[in-house]
Amino acid sequence: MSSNVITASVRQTDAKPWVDELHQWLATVDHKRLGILYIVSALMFLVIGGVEALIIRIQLMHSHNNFVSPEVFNRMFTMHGTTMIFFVAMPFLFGFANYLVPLMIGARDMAFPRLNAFSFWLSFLGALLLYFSFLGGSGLYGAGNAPDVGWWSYAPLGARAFSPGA
Amino acid sequence: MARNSGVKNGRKEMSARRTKSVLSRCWQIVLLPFWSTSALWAVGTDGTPSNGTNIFSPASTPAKSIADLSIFVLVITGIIFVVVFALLSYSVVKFRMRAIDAGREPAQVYGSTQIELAWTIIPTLIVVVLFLATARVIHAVQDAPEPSDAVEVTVIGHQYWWEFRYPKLGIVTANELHIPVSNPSHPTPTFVQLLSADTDHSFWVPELAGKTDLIPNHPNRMWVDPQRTGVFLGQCAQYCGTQHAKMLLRISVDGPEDFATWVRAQQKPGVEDAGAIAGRGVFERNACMNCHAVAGTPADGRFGPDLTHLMSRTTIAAGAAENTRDNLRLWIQNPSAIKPSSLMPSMKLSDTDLDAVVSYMETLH
Repeated sequence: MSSNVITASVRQTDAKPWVDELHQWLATVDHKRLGILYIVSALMFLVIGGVEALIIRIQLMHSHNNFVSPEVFNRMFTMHGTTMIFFVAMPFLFGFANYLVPLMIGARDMAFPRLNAFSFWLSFLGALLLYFSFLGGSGLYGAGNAPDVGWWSYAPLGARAFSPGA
Repeated sequence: MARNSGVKNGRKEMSARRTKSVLSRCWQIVLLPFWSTSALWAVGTDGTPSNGTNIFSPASTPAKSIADLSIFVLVITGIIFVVVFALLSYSVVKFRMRAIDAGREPAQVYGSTQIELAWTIIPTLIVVVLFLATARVIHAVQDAPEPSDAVEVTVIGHQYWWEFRYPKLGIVTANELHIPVSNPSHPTPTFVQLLSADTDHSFWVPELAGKTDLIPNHPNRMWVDPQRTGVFLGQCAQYCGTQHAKMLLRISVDGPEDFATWVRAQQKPGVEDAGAIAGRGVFERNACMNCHAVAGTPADGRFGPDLTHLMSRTTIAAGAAENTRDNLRLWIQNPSAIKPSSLMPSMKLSDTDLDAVVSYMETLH
């Protein structure tokens, strides 16, 4: 074909580069995508919390077992409880609500889509922050260690007097 | 033609047989839990053998009321379960979709005032009954009046051991409680006041009573009236730190003479054994007496358990180890070997000092 012929523009059929796809997911404010993000992150933390539960169960299999030390065991049940409630059960609920409720009531999206997106990413950051605490205690100054006061953290055990640095 | 009708009849028979077999399988599944637990029903609360912590073998009125209430609630909810499950299974099987139903709507039934009234009023009545039964048990346990001759014990929870004081008898001991048995016709209950020195704990001896928390700055009260002698085991039931799991309780219910003997022995000051002078010297020179007390000596520390009658106890470290010479030696040499993160420090004694102190401890009957 000669080069000075103007051809009709052909619709781009190449696959979107994965960076664009990823960016769309990370920057979405669409309630359906946020719902899916909530549920996927909840599933991820379900696995992590499940591993903590398995560690608890293995330690409790025999009496006088020493699969993990008492300190680690206390961290395990604390983190398992916190994870399952705040990072699995509640995100599942929010994920379903985000996805289904606007559809059920005939709305176009949630009322404040960007706030919605911000809420999801903030909760995800909170979960990462909690799990970052595992890295402390082995020399990372000021990072403490994972909490070991139970997921309810009753005072006075959870207060400064009995949990310095936690 | 004959063959065709035979096939048709065969199909009808097959579907009828399939319905019957599905129904019979459903009933087998429904009844399976009841067959397997019928053995449990056959054993009454009084006949169940005790292993120290068996909640189906209550020995004291609070525990008995709770156990009886639980069985009552279990029976009611069990009946509800059977009824609901039976209705559900029946409906699921009887009204399942068949091939001839394809494309047709089931019958649209729009409510029935009688049935709706029934399934509102009957559950309300059940809830009222359960509420009243529970309220009665709670009132009977919590508001029981204290008779004037009841044994009084003050329990102070520490991380990770129990301090027991008998204010009227002048006794201080730790981790192992002795109380008199109570005859139902002339009850001699033990009333317990619960205090805490540091964090929350909970006093739980399953065969004697429910759990009652020990909360700092908030005294709690509970009582028991054990009706058989023996040893009852319990543990701390509110997470209190690293060694919460090794903060065990050992309650010895004695007959009246045994209890009186025990009280007299505990009221005596520490035994003065001339042979243990060296050990006593080690005990007083190191920091031991800052935390521990031995009646009749200058040692009067209150942070750790009272050691005046250490040898009258069957376990050490709040049930973490048996009270033998080897365990005692290991405990004093390095508490973390038995109870890591226990608040007792290792004083890094030399072997001679260690043996002397253990010998001294062994004289404290």
